[in-house]
Amino acid sequence: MIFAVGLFGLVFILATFQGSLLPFISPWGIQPDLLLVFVLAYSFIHNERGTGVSIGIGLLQDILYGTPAGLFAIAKFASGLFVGTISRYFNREVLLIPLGLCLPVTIIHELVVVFFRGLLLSSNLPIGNLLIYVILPRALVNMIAMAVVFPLVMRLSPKERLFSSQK
Amino acid sequence: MVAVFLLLLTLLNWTKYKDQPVLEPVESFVQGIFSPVQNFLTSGISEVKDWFKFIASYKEIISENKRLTAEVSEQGSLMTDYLELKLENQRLREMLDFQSSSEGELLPASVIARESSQWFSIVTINRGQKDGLEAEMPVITSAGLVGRILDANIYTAQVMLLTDPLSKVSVIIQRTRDHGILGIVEGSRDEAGGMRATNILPDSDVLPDDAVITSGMGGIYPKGLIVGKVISIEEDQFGLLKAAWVEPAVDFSRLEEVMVIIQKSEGEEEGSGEDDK
Repeated sequence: MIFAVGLFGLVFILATFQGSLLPFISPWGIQPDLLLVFVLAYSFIHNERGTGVSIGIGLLQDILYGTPAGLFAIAKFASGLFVGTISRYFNREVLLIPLGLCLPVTIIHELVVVFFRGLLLSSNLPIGNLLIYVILPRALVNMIAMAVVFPLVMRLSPKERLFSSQK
Repeated sequence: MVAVFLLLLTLLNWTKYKDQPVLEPVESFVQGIFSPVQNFLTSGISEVKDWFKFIASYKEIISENKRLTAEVSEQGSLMTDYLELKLENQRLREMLDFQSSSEGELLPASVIARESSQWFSIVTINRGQKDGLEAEMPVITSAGLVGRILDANIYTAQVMLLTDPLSKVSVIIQRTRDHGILGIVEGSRDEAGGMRATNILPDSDVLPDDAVITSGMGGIYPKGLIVGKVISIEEDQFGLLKAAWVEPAVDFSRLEEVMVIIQKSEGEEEGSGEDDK
């Protein structure tokens, strides 16, 4: 129960900061996707259990910020599924691994968003430019955010879950 | 997993851009939880920013205060002339049975959140249905047009900015009275923020620095709202029409306070929604 309340509180803080604090203080307009960082950290620690949470977080993002409902839910679902599937092969207490995963997960997440956005708006964005100017800088700031978020999610997670289903 | 994915895909296809009222109770509930904190946070940020600005520019503020005091006394006489002309204009309009283009009241609102992914240009404001807001209401600042209400919940509303790829505005070049359709051109951010007015007639003598205003023809935005100014002109891809790159009047990256034009439904134009989106 304490675990659930703590995680809900953390999601609440991250979602609020993402929409109401970071856009007003972020330099060069690049800001981390704190909810994606949370999804990555949670799915890394809790394997496939993170997939359901990822969908919920994505839907929350869609509702809070007015984007087409389901768009970020799909992107977060894909990210959570990817991390949850591969995380059982890693040591879950090493911060460097989720830090390293920020790069592929950010790329997967943003490409899913760009793909479905393109379908919805009938628009084609130049993927090469997006990778260089938007996605890679975002992956970098996500890494910085991960250094803060991962220890928090780890601390809020029950110890028995940390060592279950690890290969 | 496949079923979940298909379910999300159906949801995405079904809702697209928030035109499903079925989701409204969920949205209102979630926004009701988040909006007080967002409100508190953003007002705190602007107070801190104002405080730092004040410290940094104390001397400038004193000299500006002197200049403004002198200006205010000058403006007094101009205001008298303006009121006189406004009354005269109103009388003449009544005589000609015209409707005022700026009909509707202005409701101030604060931006409390921003869509942070950079793929959409949507902000959340601290006013909602309880304040009389509805979808499609125009949103402005003192500088010019900001966008329109995309979706209103009980406590908050989402505003689609002019810079969103789905936004389209029917505009006029103020000096030449030529019509055009203004929208964002994605992937061309280096050129005037990517805003381009298309469908301008080829014989138009539109020039750089010409003001661009709303035409009132789309049915969403009232006529005469300033949108921006022309930066450069070019022929469209077929050479049949002109297109103008437009610099928006509003600095969308520093949007904090906005005003919503609450229009009277009786005053809405017929055949609306074709040009403005």
